Amino acid sequence: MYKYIIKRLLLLIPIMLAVSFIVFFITDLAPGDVVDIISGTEMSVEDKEKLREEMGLNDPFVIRYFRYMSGLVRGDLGISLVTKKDVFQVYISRLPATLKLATAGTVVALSIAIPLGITAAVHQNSWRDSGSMVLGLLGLSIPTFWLGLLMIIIFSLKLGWFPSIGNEGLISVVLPAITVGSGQAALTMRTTRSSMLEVIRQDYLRTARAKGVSEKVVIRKHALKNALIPILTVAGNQFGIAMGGAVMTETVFAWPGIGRLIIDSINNRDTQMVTGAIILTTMLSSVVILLIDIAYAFVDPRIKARYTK
Amino acid sequence: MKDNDLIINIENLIVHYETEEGTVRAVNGIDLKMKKKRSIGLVGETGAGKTTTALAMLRLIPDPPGVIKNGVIVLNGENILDKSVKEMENIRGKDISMIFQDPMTALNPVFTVGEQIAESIMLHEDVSKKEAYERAKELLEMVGISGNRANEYPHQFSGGMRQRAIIAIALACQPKVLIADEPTTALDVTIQAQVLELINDLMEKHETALLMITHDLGVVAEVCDEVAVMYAGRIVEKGSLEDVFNRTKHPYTEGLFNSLPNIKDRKAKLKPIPGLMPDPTNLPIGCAFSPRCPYANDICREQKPVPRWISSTHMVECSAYDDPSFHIARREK
Repeated sequence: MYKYIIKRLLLLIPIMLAVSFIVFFITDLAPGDVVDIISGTEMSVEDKEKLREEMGLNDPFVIRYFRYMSGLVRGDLGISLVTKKDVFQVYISRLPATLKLATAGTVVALSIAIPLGITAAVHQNSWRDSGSMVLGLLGLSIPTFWLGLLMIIIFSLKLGWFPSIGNEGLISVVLPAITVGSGQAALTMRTTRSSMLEVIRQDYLRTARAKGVSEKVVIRKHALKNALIPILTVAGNQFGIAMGGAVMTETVFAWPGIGRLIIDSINNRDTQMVTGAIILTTMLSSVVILLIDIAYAFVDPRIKARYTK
Repeated sequence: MKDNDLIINIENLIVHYETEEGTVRAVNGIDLKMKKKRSIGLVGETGAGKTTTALAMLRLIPDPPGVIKNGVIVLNGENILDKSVKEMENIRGKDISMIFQDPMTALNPVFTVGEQIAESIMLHEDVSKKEAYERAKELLEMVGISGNRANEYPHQFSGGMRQRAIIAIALACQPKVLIADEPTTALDVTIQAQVLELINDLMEKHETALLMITHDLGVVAEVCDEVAVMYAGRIVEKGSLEDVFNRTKHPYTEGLFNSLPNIKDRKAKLKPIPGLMPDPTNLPIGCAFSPRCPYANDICREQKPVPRWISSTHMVECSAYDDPSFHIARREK
């Protein structure tokens, strides 16, 4: 098991190298640079060119990339080109808000998706099944920004129950979490349904019933634990993605998270910030996915046996 | 037979599966009595309604599409078809248990074998989790598996060991009736004999009544005191082991014996019963076996046969015996 974890962690190194190159290369392709943004209209062309020279922006791509990488291997992500703040520090300061939203969103998603998915599977082809599927389709197809705005109009402006923007206290996370969660719930619900449908006709459930286990326990204990792996995969990946920030939702609710940090940095052509933030997000998501893979072993002993090989 | 010896009394049980393609008439009015400590073999081809009968006794027929249309199943003087869902949960595993056909799929892969045995004990007895687990270990020892393997998962067990573990689950609460649904079909021949012997021993030790469902007449001869032969949802012949094996009356039973290999004459070809079991959604008007029966006459094809008691223990359902001179080719021993 430990061997497996170490192997997976070592695999992160090539992934990081590839991600850093791709991100660095793509941001380099974007037209305009940070000097255009920070200089405004007053600065003369010569002064701008001097600034570029000072910041090393005129060096060839390869030189700039190796300069960046020599910092990266020492754990130095550099400083923001715009604010001159340490990239890592800025990222860390934004992380709690994103973590809060991602966690709350996943909680919302799971608490909708699992009960509905199970109900749909247990009552296959009934009105409950079709009802859940329609809800799922709505969740998938309603655009996030529209749902977010709708909820702000109803619950913040009309009813005044929740704040419309910002991150203050637990109450402020409710509307963004529902917005993020409803989209995630749709996919998780469909996965729960199909996974449960596969398990529900297994012989071992009949064995459990023949022992005198009640139907409720047969479904919640014996069936659900067997159906959990695909559900865990989907929900976990969605959580991993949410860790990178929910760009739409963070924008609508002015949520001070990673998603907005990245968007703002892209708009400012702050290549240092963008590259650093994306590398850190990739690492975080990879760790989350590794944790899910480890969690598999605790759900299914057959997978655990495979890991230890 | 004294009535207080009866543990199970099934009367006129009818079970249908109502599907979109039509009504599958799986069990068509069977009567079956089980006595305490005795074992009865329920024999027949695949699709004869054996498993449906067994599942009806546990009220575990998948519904929909399965419906128990008629009949009573009396356990200890009470009709279990009148029981509430909660009462049924108390009966399952405690009064009636079942061993299923395929040990490879009958155990839950994500719980340890010990947990699965202990669960049954905890459901029916007022014991702590720890006590139940200790009992589970003892039960494993009883079926010939070392108790310290209780914390292993089903995938770490061989097929024979899994079936033993399933037997341990079924007997955990010392049920009065055990239903074994082809318990040896999925096992290697060498393991089959061991498992049968184990079931036999445990039946005697725990004084449990056994309903052995099988298509294997050898298994019946090994384990059972009585035999009931099922065909297309009816019991066509039943009696003591000697009645059915030595004084065979029904042409179908004869066909089953003829299709066994003959050890004394190794060159003899097998004589399978010609044709197939009738479609249960569209059963013949008369005797369901008449299309395949070498003795069938017009009456057989037009009228349903009625049970005929040849002795106090031996019943056959065959219209051909309306003619007193009728006899099948198989000789009485």
